[in-house]
Amino acid sequence: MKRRILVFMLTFTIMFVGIFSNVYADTILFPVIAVNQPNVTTIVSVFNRPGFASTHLHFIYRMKCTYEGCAASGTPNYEGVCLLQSFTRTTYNGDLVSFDASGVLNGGNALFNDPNTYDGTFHMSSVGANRAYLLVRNSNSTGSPVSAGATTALGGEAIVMDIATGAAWGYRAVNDTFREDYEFTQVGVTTAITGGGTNCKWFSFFPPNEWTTRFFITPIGDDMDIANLSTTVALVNDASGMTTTGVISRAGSKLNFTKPVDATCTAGIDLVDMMDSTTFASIQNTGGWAWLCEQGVNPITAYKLEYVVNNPVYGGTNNNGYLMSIGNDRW
Amino acid sequence: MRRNILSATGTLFLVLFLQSLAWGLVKTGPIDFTLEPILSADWVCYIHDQDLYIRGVQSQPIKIRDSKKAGASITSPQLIVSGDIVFLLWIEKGAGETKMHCRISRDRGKTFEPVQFLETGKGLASARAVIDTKGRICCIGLSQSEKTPFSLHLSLDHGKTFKKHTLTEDSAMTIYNLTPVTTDTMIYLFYSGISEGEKAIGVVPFDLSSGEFQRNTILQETEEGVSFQEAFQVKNQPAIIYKTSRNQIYALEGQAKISGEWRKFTIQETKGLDVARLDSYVWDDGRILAVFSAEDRGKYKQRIYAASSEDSGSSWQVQRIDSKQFDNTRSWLPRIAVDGNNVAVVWEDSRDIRSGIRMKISSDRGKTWYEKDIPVSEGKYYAFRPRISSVKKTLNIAWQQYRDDERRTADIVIQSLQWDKALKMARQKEKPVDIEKKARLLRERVNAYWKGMVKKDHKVTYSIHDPFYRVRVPYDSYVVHRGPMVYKAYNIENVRIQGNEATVKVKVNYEVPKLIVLGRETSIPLTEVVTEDMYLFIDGTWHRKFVDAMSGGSSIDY
Repeated sequence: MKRRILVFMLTFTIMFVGIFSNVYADTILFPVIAVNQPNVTTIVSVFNRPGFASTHLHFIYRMKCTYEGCAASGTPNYEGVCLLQSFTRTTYNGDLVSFDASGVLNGGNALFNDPNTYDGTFHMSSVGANRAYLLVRNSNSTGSPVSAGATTALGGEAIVMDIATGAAWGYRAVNDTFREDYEFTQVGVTTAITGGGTNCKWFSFFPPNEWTTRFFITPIGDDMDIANLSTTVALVNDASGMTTTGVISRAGSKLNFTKPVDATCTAGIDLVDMMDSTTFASIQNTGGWAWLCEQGVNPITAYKLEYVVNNPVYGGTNNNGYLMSIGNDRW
Repeated sequence: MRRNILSATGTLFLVLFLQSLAWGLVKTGPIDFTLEPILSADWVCYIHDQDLYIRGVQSQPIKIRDSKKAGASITSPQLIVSGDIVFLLWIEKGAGETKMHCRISRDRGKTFEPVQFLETGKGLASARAVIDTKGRICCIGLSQSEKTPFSLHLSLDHGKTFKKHTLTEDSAMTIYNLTPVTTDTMIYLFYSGISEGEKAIGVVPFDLSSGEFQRNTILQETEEGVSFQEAFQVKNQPAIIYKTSRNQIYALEGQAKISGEWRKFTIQETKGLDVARLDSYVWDDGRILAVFSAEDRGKYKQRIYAASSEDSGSSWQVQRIDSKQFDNTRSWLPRIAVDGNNVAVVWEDSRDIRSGIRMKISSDRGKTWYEKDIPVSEGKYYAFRPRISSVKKTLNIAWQQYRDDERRTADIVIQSLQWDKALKMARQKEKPVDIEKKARLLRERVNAYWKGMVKKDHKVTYSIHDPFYRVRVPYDSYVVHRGPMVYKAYNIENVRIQGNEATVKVKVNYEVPKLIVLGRETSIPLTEVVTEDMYLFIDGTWHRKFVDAMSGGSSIDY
């Protein structure tokens, strides 16, 4: 009996310590990191909450080529898997560090006259056009997770920018308040589209003949530090059941097609790649609207980017991005 | 020397004069180019300044309906020219209500009877019109209402009076697309949509003698939807081809009524191909010739195909009919016209980057095709969405054409061409492209561009950018947005040409001595990067394609 009690207590202790040892090792996710030297870079800022800082932060880039032809196999952008790059850097109580993920600005070291010293650079090691997501976690000097004492110990922002033209868009880092160990859930993130096609977000799009519309999709789930999570996204034109794939034209006609697009790790998916050629021909000069649905098993974070080349009708060049996976239009 | 110039000029005028004899051309606009051209015989229908117009190859524009007087916007126009009858049908969307109207001319457009009101309804979405060889006119109003998905207005007296017939379904029925086909005794209304709770393609026959709808028949459940449908009659029996997908693999399938039974068929060779659209012609002996454009995403862009069947669709022979040199650019949305054994197919073709209209000819009912893809539109204009018809040994081709590369304002163009001239053109050999000269020219242009970048010679670099970018971005604006990079040296690493598109890899050394980012001054030391640029062969030379580094967007899609 004593032995059973001992085993139970040991098991309980392991579980208790196991659970709570991860609870406060806060992790944030930057779902979209885009670099394309010499023009495009992503300026990342990470800050930690005073009183809840660790001695170090562990950084993990999951990265892949932006375009086809730069990897041995697969479609790098959509279905290609990500490589891993990680490093650990010093941090300080209430610290803010900003850096250029491409490494072009200040060699990837801390930007903006940072008074603190860090033990290395922060940029991606890859060259050329790359996309990635970035994880940042409270850690010790070896990169192992440590409790910082809060579920929101870390915060962050990112700006994707073209340093030649000044075009930019930005977003806040994602912090799952319920999971801390490289796991992100739809509930904890609160801004993800749920897997399974039951939670979709509606959006409009301008004439593809003039405007480029692109979705930056990053599936979220377990083990984002090592896993290549995949997803399937599709456009849907019927709110009842969210299963009729298609779009709705500017005139209100429903256009049907089957065109699911698979994405692994992270992807920039062109709107026109999500519709069939018949539909593209119909809405090429007008645009339309639809729901963006996730039809796989993993929830996604989704950002929508719209771009038009200098056009006086629209006030010049426009480059606008926003978080799609937020709002109250869930079904 | 002067004599040579005069001689050359004289020859040029002679060529232009002879060309103008071969081609009769009229142009009108600006038109609403979101509405694709509507061509019937030698007449086109279009929206100009929100009003509905028609014009013939040999007549001036005629205003059919004034939108301001109607107090509504005009949508879904239909035009049918049959003998001396010119018939128009359209939808008027006004505040709170939508109406369907028609108008008719019985003397080939010399005079028009007053506008006839057919019906009103909030759910009216689009209109369809068909006239059979006996002069019976059928107008269909397609509704978003699930209980009365469409109504049919039938005239048995050449459009003098119409009688309305409404299909009322017990179970909810949603129609996405509807195509009528007439036979001697019936109108077959093929639809794709949701019927009896299932996504399906079906048909509702209408008996012309009794004036009643027959039972709605679901021909095929299409779980993954139908993108388009094309219906026709084969030996006075109805048939339909539609695009759907099974297990997310595209397929062209069809149904034909044979001996009173519906028989399903599949065009096997199209399995997995994303077909954009299809047009067809059926000869009296039952030979079906369908032309369509299709792509295999990731392998090649939209290409032009012809498929023929001698057995009401049971078996098909499929062949590519356009040039295979330009698989990396789009050739699509073909249309067909027939005169006896002669067949002409026109399509929208982006091989020259600036889209144009090309035509292919067969003189044996589509069994074999002349090699030449005849250029129809002028190369300096972006031309799109062609239509073609054949009337009395004359081909009529209509298309839309932007006035310049900004692609903001478009006209509609109609050209007439004698069949024998078209056949003569098809037999002429095309001048082969000097590939070595093209490659040499590309390297010259790339060198000129990067030398200009190193020297900061913005006039040179601007002039090498594609015309679609330059028409939108004035030189002054271009100069302002050159960025802070100072280019020191370059080396062309690799060049790959496919058709009129080239990929060029260049190793570049650059630095940024001073850069303000988010309000702070910084700099970039001498750095080496490999850039990959796209060059486009337009108007006889190579241009650097503008691509926005952040979004991947550009000024031209092809």
